[in-house]
Amino acid sequence: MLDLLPQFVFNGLLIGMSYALVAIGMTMIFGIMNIANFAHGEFYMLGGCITYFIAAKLNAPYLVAVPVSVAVVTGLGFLLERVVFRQLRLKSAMSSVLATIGLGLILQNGALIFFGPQPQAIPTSFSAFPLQLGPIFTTEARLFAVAVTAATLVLMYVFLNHTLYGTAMRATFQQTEAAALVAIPIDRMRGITFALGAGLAALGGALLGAIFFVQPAMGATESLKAFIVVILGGLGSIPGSIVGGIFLGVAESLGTVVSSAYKDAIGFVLVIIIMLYRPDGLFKKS
Amino acid sequence: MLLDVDNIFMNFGGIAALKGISFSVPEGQVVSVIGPNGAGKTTLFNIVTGFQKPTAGQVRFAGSVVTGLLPHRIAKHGLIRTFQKTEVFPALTVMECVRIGLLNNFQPSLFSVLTGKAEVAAFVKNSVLEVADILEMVGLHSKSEYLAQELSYGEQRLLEIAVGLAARPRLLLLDEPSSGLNAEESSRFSTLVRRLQKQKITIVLVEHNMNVVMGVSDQIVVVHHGEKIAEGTPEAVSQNRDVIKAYLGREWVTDAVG
Amino acid sequence: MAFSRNLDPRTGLFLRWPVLAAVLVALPFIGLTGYELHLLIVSAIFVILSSSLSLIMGYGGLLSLAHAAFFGIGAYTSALLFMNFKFSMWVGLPAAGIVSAIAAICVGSLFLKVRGHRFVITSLAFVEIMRLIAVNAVDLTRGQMGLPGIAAPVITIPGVGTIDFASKTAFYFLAVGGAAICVWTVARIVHSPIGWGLLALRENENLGESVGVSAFRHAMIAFVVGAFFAGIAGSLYAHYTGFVSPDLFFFSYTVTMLVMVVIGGKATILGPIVGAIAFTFLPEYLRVVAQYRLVLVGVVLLATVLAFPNGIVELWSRWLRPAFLRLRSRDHAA
Repeated sequence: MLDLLPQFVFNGLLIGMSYALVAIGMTMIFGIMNIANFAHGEFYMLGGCITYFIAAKLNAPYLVAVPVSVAVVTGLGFLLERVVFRQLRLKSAMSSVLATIGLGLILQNGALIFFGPQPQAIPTSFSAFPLQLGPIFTTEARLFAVAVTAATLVLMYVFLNHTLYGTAMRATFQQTEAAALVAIPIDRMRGITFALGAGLAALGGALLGAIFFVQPAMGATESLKAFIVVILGGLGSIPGSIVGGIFLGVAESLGTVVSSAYKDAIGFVLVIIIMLYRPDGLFKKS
Repeated sequence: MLLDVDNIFMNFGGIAALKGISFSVPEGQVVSVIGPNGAGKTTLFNIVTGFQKPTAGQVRFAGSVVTGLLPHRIAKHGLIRTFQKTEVFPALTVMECVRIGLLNNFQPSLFSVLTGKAEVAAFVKNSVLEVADILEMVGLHSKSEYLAQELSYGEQRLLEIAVGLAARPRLLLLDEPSSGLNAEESSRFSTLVRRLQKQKITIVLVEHNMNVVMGVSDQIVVVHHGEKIAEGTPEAVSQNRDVIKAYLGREWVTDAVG
Repeated sequence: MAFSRNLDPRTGLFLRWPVLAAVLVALPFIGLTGYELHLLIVSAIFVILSSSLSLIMGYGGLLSLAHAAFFGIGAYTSALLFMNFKFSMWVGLPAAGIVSAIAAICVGSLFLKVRGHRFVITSLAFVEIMRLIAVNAVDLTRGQMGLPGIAAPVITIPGVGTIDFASKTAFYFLAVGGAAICVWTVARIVHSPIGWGLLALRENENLGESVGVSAFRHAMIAFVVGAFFAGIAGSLYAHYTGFVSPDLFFFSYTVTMLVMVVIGGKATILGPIVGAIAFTFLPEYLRVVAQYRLVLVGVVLLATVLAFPNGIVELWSRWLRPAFLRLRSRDHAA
């Protein structure tokens, strides 16, 4: 049993990093716009489905399909921020939640019309044979996903901490009014944040879609997972989402070993406890 | 004494906002709490009305300790406040807003509502007249069908006082009621305060407008940097050296420099 | 009281009770198909759900995503009482309401201390936990297999005969009766001093507290009464369809109820009724555009939130009714 531990941790890491990709966007959107985006998992779904469409129907190589689909979803995010989310900014939590539920319905069922309900495998040029790395068995597709995700998370870190845009974004996050005073273009920051968040989620879908399947229904589940992660890590905290995502992924993977029946419930129980008693998340010192 | 504020301390993090404030309000008087911005007046109001818990100290109202009670419990004692930033129920009509204040006197159980108890019907029926009387008194009777959010700023301030009056206060705490009012509105407000006083409602004012303060107050309490530096009649306080130095003097200095 | 004549003073829609009652009693006998009667029964069950949800979210201003949880708890209570103890619906129905209400008191005493996003997310997590319990407590609920064979009740009145509620016509009266009681209760509450307190909670909690209105008490009343009726709806559903499964806790049920309330009109009595009937019947008659149905629902929901926050009933009261009255007065003049 114990020799399987590294394997479970690795599997959990893979899933957890994809949770992190979706959760980062969700937490940024909450931080900068005060909107709990129930439609965010749909960007993950669209990333996967569009990658499938480009790779399977247009016969483009997977390595081309991934960036193209991420770009498409990023653009869509930019557009949606303009058309929908900008109008929700001054509305109550009730209105913004209802609106994002409506948007989720549109995106999910729109995808259903376009892609059909069946789960599909994204064709890739990766070898299907298992690779052995010490105690861990894996595949090329999985290694690729882990490497790209890790690189993206590092890039995000550099972007937020060492570029002008990133710093401005974090400033808007923490102190919107102060940021406006020092002439940061708040509206543009919101648009970029939203587009970036959508793109990150799409990347998660495109990478995981090559390992598992893609289907229009997968966005809703992903939204729920991302919610758990965002809340574990603290609403609005990017490092919290990364740690929270990996934590949840690994916990779920190890949970399968212990008791599979209620493993999903643990996450939701944690969410309730945190929302009631520690609204800043698990990792923040009070 | 109707209200006793006894040695109240309040710390935010490491910063002491209130450092042992005490004062008393006798029944039927108008007491003003004045002091420069940031002196801790609003914090003091929040503590007295249960919106914040003091670090130490006690608030007694009509003989019972109310420190640490929830705001709606304190309101039940007859201790009612208004807010510095005007608060109304924006999407309700003026009449509906004031009606909510009446709930301080009577809140039926779910059972008596569903079984249609006579006392509930009587309360609902009387509420119409009571609301009309209160709106007449504050001068908003012609606006009773307007939504609160459609009123002007000054009218919203009056509406907030009307909501408080509907709660039948023994003591009304008004947090900067005349700020943002024009000259005519604030003189109307002074008249209102005097009328309330005649109705045996005790009033505590936090106020910047010295015309209002000097005109209506029986007693003045001066707060500076979280401490009480003076207390007394308007004449006595206006001649107090500490007050002139800390409050009025400082304003004159800034005026002269700025 | 006012609402005995006029269901909804805000929307200005007059419904005269005797007329409405006569129409509702006559409906099953005007030659509707069994399918149409079925849709009416489903509508009535959804009227219970949407009206009770509107009490919580429309009047109290609390966006609860947990309404489906109380619906499911009610359905399972009724189903389990029937399967394990052979209790008929006459026991199951009140038991379902009471169990849901007790569940609401328990979770409400924790959840109703937070507001805004924190409350929304907590309520969502609760319904997911209930779903996972229904899936995983296999010994009790048979998991995904669900509980089949829950019979409709039979009543024997001496001298009159036996009524079997397995007949759609008979069950119709049961469901419509339940809906009527629910709407009456909600209307009674919102037009009472408790209703004023609920509006205070929605509009400005601090100001309400400062004049003696306990936010927690009013939130609790709305939450528990809402849950009670959601439980009643669950029991009716279980005994009507004869089958319950963890699907009852699906987010899609929650979304359906939200859509009915929001598009119908949140803080009105009529809105949720109109919404429930419209969103039960329309999908069946829009089969042509079946696959675009949910996309359309999404678009309408989004558009309602952005442009008509008070729903289609307001569309009627603010635009159509004045126009209608103008037209009529012109006719009279001519």
